[in-house]
Amino acid sequence: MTETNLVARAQQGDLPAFEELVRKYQREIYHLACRIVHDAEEAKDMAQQTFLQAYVHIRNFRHQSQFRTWLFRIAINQCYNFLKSRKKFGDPVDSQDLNVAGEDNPQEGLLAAEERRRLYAALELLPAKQRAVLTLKLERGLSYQEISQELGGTAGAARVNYCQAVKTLKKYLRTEENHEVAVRPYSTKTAGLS
Amino acid sequence: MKWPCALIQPRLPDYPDGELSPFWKRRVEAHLKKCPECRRELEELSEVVRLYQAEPLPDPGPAFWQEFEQELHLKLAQVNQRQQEPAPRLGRLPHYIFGAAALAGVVALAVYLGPFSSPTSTPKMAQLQEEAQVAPTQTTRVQEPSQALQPSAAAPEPPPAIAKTLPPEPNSTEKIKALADRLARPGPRFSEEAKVSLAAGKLESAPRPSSLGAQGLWPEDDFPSWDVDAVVADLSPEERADLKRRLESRR
Repeated sequence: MTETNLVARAQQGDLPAFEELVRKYQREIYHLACRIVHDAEEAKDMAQQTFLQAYVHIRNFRHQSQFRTWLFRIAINQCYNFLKSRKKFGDPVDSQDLNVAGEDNPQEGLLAAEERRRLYAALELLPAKQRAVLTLKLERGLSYQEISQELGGTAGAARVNYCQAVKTLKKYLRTEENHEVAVRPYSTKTAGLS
Repeated sequence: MKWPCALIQPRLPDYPDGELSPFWKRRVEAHLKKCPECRRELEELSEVVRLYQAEPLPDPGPAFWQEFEQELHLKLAQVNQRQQEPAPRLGRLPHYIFGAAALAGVVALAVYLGPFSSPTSTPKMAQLQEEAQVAPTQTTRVQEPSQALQPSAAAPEPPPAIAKTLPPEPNSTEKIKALADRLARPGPRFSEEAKVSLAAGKLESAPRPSSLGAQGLWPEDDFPSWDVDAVVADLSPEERADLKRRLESRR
């Protein structure tokens, strides 16, 4: 059954049809929420809230855009609202404690783990909108026009957000490298002395 | 930073396979051939993108998704059940209906309380109350001669109106004839009747049926009440039948 038929049946209150749509998009929605809120449990809640909101308001979907775009827009708004409320109520987030399910892989090298830690720490420095743009651009391969449809704003704004995000990441990662280079000789010296 | 680099570097994130126009793609390519600083910048940006793409979020596994779907299914079923329940009837009415009903209530209350609360109407009420207080004393004054003229009135506690209108009994036939005449005449207006009942002694300006008064059916200061039940209260059934016959013959 095509996506259009599933959406039409879900609009008539067909729950199994909507659950078929859920199974189709749940991974992408969850990964996007993970990237934006940087918390696996919260990302799971965001994904579920996204599908709940979509089911409640699916009769308002008028096929003026793709269902996927509409769904991602809901997910992004949910994540933004969550981050806003967390900022308002002062719940601190430690980016290095991002606990993504399935992260612990014993065969993973230490270097890769260190790179991942640095990357997540750098991503945490970015505003939520830039994180969302990075995810949509680099993971889903959307064009700036498509990103602007999902996030709102213009294609030019999406491009500026993407370029700014990449430059911020580069700057932070280079700072981390310099810091490590500065620390390593000290440790080797101390190791040699001992 | 040289000025060509300032033009080129903002476009570097889009250079390799981004959305650069052919014009800018050619310019960036030509500039990179002769500028090592911009080449290094491009390498660093590409490294960041490579690092990001090399670290995709791992899939949480089938157990996670099974739990996810079960939780979501329960929530969706609750929402579905809530949506299928009919909304309460009052909740479906538009809100302005409640506003209109409240406004109508306020207007009705204002109309009801308006004459009593407005300062212009207070003297009228006071005047009416004064008249109502004065009336019983005058009624008793009128009743005295009527009671004197009618010592055999056997009606138990006749109302004041009856006492006022009871004429001296000249004769039963004459009385019925006079009553028939009286009832056949067009009655006074309501305002006149109200004046009679409320202020019997202050009716100098009111028109009086002098012909009936001349017949001696009731005293000159008294004025007949046009309440038929009160008038025929003291008549016997035969007299009532006679009165009815006379009235019907005049119709």
